[in-house]
Amino acid sequence: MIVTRSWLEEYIDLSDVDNSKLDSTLNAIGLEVDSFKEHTIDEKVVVGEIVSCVKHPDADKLNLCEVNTGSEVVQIICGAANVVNAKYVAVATVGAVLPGEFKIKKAKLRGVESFGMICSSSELGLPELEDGIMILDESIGELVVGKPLNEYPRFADTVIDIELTANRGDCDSIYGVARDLAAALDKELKTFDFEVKNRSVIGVAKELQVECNCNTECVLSYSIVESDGFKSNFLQRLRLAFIKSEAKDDLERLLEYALHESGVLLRGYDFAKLQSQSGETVKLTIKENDNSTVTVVCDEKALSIVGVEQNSEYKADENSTKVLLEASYIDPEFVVEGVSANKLETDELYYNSSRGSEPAIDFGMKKLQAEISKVNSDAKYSSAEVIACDYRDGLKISVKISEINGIIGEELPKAEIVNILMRLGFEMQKVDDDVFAIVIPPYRHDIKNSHDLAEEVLRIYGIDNIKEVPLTIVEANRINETYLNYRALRDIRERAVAANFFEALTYAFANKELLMKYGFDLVDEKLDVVNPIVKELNTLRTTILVNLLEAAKRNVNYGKKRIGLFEVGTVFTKDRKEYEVMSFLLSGEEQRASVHNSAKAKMVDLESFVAKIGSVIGDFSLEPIEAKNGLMHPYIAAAIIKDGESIGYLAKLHPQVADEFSLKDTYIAEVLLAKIMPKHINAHALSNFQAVTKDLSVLVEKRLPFYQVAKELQELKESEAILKDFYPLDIYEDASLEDKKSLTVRFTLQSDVATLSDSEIEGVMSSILQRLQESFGATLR
Amino acid sequence: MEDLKSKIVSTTNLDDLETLRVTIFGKKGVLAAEFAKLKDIAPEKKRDFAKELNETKAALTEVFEKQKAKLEAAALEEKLAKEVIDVSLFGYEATKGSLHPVKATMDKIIDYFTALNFSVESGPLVENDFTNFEALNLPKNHPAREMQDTFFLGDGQLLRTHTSPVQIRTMMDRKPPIRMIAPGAVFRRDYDLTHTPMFHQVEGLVVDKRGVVSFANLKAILTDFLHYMFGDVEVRFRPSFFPFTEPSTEVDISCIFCEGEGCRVCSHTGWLEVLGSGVVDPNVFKAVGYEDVSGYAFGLGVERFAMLLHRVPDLRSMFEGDIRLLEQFR
Repeated sequence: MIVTRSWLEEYIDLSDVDNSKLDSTLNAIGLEVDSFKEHTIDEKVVVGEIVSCVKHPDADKLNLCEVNTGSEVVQIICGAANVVNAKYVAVATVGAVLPGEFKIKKAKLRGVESFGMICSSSELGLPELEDGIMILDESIGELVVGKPLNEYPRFADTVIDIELTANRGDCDSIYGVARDLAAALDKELKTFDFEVKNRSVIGVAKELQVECNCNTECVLSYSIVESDGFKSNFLQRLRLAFIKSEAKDDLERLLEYALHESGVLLRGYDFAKLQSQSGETVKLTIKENDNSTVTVVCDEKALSIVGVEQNSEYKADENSTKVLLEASYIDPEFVVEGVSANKLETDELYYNSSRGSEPAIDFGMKKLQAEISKVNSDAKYSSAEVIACDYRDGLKISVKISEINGIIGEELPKAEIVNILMRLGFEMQKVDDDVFAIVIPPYRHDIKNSHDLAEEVLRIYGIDNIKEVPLTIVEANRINETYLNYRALRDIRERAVAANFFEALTYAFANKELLMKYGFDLVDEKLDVVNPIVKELNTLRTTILVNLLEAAKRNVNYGKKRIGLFEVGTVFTKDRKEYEVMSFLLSGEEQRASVHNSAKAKMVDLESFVAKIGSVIGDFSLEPIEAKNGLMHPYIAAAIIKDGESIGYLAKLHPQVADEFSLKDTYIAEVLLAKIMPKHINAHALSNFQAVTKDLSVLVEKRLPFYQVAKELQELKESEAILKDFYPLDIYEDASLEDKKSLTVRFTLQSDVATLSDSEIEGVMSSILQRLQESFGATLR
Repeated sequence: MEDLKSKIVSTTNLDDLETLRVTIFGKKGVLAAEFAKLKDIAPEKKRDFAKELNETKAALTEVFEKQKAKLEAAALEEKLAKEVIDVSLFGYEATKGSLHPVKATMDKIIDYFTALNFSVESGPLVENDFTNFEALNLPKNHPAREMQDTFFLGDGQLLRTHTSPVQIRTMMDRKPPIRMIAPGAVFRRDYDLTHTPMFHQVEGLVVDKRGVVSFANLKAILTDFLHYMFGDVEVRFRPSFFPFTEPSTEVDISCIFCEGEGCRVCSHTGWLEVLGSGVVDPNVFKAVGYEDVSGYAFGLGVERFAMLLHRVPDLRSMFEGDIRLLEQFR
């Protein structure tokens, strides 16, 4: 909603309110100021009167004007075609400085001297108006030749763009904003009236009959106007330019101007056309339809849907000579329902009607007639025919002053509250000491209960004046599982950072083509996003890794040689169940080329990646698996086993994929977040007896992966109390061993109750060997 | 005697000193030879001779031990000096990753509210119309729904447009009093310089018996919170509109870039909008079946906080895993 200071002043006296006060007041009452633009015009730009205008002797397109600038008559050359029709213009005299540091100097154009410039609106920093120069008229005030234009407040105006919240339809007009300001500043709101009596020559009853066939809250007013075409004045056009109007037709301009000022829905129908079709008496029916719309019908033709749109066939324009003016109001909830249910196209009036337009349609009609008459002095009107299908008076509610104060949290005096609400147009009837019966003004569609009234009091009283009161609470243990998991995750993230990974944050979407290409699950199409915003984010992600790869690629492009990223976030299953994973990507140089490696960079490898992952998620073991997706190297791929359970996977990035993403050696991992959360631990008793280390070398099949050996040993560990730990110490392969390899495992043996005897040690070692013989045909080497 | 002393003092290494030790203190050394003379000395002079000899030995021993300590120290120093490393070469290897500025900012926010006895709650990203809109006093066709362009899913569900549905779920699950925050990702169908289709919010809700929780309480906590986050800034409350709160306010801080003078970042207003908040609308309580309660709620965009707090110039760069950005937060 754009307003201008001079426009507001048509309804409220702002002479003692400077722009800074105006800005802060609007913000303070909830009319958020988006931009505040004061137009100041150089003092040397004055009202000029064109005394004569002839063609430049040497240039077809230039005009040679004698212009009276008040103190002298000067010669000015002007290139605008419309200067030939102009009488009063804005003249930048020599010495004036226009926006963009444009200095006006004496100049010579094609041999003829020019002493100034006749200005267009944009040359003065105002919005663009018609083509060519501005042709001034007295709509901005009495034109005094030589008077600086900066002294015309309607010209050098202040333009304020207010970001209106969706509930404040009542402020969607100059009048509405002025009304709210008047309440806030405790000023009088000027009234407006316009009498058509002297100009009323058309007998409305003879020419127009309106029948109402509608039960919804809807009020319409009709008046016929006759004029020899319609024109607008300079001020109307200037103000419409300030509010960024796109109206191209003068009648359209007049309608929009009056709508913007009054907030009343206004339309014009070509009455001559209606008469030519229906005869001298035009019969209109206001008809409520089953689909929650109200149409204005004439001879079974819909002229408009009230508050929604107009049939262009019967729309009047500036060349019309007889126009049926319509001012209307309709219940916003009804309109919104109708538009949504029927997916109706809407025109610019819908913005007002859906938020609640001004119900004082008589005011809107009079405003429109007045604006028409300012320019079109021959206009003749019929009296207005008002049709109230169902007009509801303001809603009545009862409210307790104590409740309003309770919501605000401060004991405001009752008189203050009553005064504020009355200033805002609420009728207050005292019921008892605390309770008031309140009639809500009809334009305040947003007020329904005591909370709404508390907001009214708060915004006018001023939030700044409310004392801050810390809430006294009853202490309670509010630590829950969500919080504990969050705390644990924070530690995990810190560990990842310590392991030299950067935390990434990518969208919970993915590129469907990429997921498909690399063989990841896709969320069932019936459950997926139906209105994605871009192709690259056209599905819910089922992995974070593809997002991390894309991030890695960008980093390569930025010249990064070492890329370590992790992300914790939600992914989706095929049936769109949400779960959280932690994903890692490590690519390129583990250690850059430097003095420490004789200038040869050390690339990341499986060992360094596994060590880093371990430092983040704790102990785990790996079991070889077949690649689960196209990102995984077929022979360097593993399930991550933690506490005997597979919690995710880890792999070298498939070299082909690495190429596609311009990456060097790269490792990836994705684990279930729930499975790396810390567990409760019970300590066991410490052994006071020395531990013994024993190595055992056996010959086994070359292909035998260690995890199978580990499984057997793990089982054995359950039954052999003194077998505490084991790990692979060495692998030896040699042609002489043929299809066997030598595997050395190191064991830690310790008793909790005594120093181990040789026989105990030999006993457990031989049962280990026996187990390996039975399971894998291992032989002692 | 003096000759021996100077011999000891003039040794330059432990080996020479050891040789000298044998020469002086050894079984066949100088001192042993002197003590051997004792048996040939007249008994009346024996006592003085022995005394003198003992004193000589003690003096020599002292000189010897001193020299030994000195040479040992020198030998250690020599050994250590050989181990010299140019440590200044290594500083360049000191490195770690970093937390994402948005997540770190969220952590900082959570720290504040948990310290004030708020619980942390979470909810699903996929929501339904009731919890995301309807229960929050955003009936179908309400113009305010246009403020939140929604991603819809094939089965009529949607991606939550704010973290407010977590409030609804928590209230439906639990009796008052409620004192909670809900941090998390939210989604709106908007993608340009200042909007990303996913961003993060922290939402707060406090509910207690009717008449207990007021706007004045909300003003107190948010003012304090913004001072905690941004330091010594001015805080301004402006009346605004949200369907789920009434009265509603937007909260601004004085621009941290120009200190309120007016600059490009604050659109020359001197103020930066950082929060939305208000007293919970009775319709929200009605939707979850709460009676005779009062409450306040607030919500903030974590990306905006992170950008302001750390002067991050570009919103979209934060979602690109751009290490050039992230490494600044090490």
